Amino acid sequence: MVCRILVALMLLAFPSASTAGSAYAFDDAYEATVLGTPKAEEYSVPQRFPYRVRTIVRFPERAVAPIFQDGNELDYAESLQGDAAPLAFVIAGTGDTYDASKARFLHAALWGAGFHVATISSPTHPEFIAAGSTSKMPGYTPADARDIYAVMVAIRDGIAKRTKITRTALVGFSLGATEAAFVAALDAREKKIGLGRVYLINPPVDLYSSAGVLDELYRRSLPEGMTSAVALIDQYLRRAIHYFHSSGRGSLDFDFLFRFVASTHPSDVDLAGIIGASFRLSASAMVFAADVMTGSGGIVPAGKKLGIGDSLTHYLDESLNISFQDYVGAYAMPHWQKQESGARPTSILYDASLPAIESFLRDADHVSMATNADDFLLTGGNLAFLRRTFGGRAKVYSNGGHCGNMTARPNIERMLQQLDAPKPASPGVAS
Amino acid sequence: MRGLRIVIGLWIGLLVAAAPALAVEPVATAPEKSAFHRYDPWERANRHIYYWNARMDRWVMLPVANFYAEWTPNPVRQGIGNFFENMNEVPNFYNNILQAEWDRAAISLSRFIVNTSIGVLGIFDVAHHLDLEAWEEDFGQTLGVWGVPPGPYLVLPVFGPSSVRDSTGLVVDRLSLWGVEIAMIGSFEWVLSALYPLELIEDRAGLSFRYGELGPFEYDIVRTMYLDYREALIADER
Repeated sequence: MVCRILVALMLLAFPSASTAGSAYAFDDAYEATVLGTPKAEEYSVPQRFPYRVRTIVRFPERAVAPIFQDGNELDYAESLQGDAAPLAFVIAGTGDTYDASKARFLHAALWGAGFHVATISSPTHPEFIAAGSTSKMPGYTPADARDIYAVMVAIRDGIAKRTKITRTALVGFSLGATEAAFVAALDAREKKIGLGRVYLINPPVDLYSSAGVLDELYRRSLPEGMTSAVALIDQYLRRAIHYFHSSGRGSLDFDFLFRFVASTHPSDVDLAGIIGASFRLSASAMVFAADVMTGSGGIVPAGKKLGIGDSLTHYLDESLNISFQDYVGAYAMPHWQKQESGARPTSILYDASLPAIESFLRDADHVSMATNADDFLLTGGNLAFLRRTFGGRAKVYSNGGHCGNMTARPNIERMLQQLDAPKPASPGVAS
Repeated sequence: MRGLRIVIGLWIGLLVAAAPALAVEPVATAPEKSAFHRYDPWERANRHIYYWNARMDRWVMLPVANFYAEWTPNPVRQGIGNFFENMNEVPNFYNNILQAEWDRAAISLSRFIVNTSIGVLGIFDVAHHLDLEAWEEDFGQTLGVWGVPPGPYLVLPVFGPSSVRDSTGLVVDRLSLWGVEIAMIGSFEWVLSALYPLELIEDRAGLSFRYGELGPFEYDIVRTMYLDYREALIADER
């Protein structure tokens, strides 16, 4: 999960967006989560490589409101090698598209290591809800994994027509990692792909309780919700601009803003607010998309047709008031229950968590993972569960928060080694 | 070529249409809603333009920019980027003058002279090595510093988020820039058919934003962030 608002702000404001940074308190879980890995410590990925956005259509008959720009076309990113190579899939994190910064980083690293790469958006992203989701109500991991698996099979078939694939690997981060675990379990049963290695980065063990942590950060740190969050960002922006101007420079760039925010060591309340707000903003897009696509009438009156000129601002307000757990309780659960022939809510929530596939994961030697001891999305006995289940296949870093260290050199190198990459070392960087 | 003239025509039309709205600041706005509600009286038209910008980006700009980024060697791209940055010293210079920022104007002028001569038409940023750093100013900022409010939010074809004030600035800066480019390089036709598209492609290639990535509320988020960013920039220069 990236900090969407911050990223959006930076993309808007600063033309040369690249990740960068300087030393900061990496031992602070929130700070690491927001700021990521300092550039000097990042794995170096190729800057120039073939990057194609391609499309599959899963539901040709599906009518999609024009506010979803791509309609029933599901985009994904693809980069192929010139010759026969293994194919690696990447599943983006919560609310992210295939080309959000972290997904793109993994994409580039895997291509640089000799894989054909295909990266797909998270099932929680509106585009996936509109064009890739069977239920249009994401969050129930087994169902989302079935959608992802169908998309992967279609993409694999398309690529196999154009080049030779020697074997297939899968990587997921954040919620994408939890989903990747379920995809691996599904593949072991259905064998439509025959996945080789699978690598999970910071998987939440139980989406519902992890989302509860983020809902709580939002409630606790932002007294007026998103209005407080925008005020908070404005305040940082103003301070950064002032600092920038007073240092005699007049063209703001992303590196600078990043270093500024890093050097001010924002308080934990501010950081928690940014993390909570970024999640709530992604969740609001998801809730709204699910509402419109299912025509449930919770946010947009049932039967109302939204055109591209219609203001959505008051729907945004309404969506922002719905926490992830409210979404599950009020919207999704009845839907999922119908779909799972009347199962009880508690058993549905259990089935959506990693313990439901514990026996598979315990014996799945091809599935390995990495997480951080200070990943605040792991609640209760989650970390112990991961250690116990994956044993020697689990790597637990002491710091990094949630996904804050996933682009660091040793972390990517371990991933490539676990995936048995054709060219495990980063070009030009001594390992 | 013709397309660009149409775009320019559109701007001017929009600005003329917007003139009355500029004069009247919104006095009675609706009671406080969330931070995402902004003064956007032409929201319907703006959302349509945003939508078509997204389509054009998807179909034309992004494929071209990706192709350019994939096949242009890094030093060449750097040179192209430097060239346009150097050209931008023209609006930087006069806008610093108009804001009575004499030191910054002197830096802009020095950068332009050094980079245009020693730096071969600006392809090499020599001034950077002399500790002369660019200070970007546009006429929208100048108007803001003079106290002109942003007026209604405006989404421009091709350029995206703006306001009536900032698009006025954009037209002024663009015309002055073209004037200098024509003087330096050649004909108007040449500037519009080769140089300007290259600038747009280079700008797009440097931007990792993709329309649609923020989901169905992207318009609202972008509007808020754009307006707040511009006001923050101007507030610090007053």
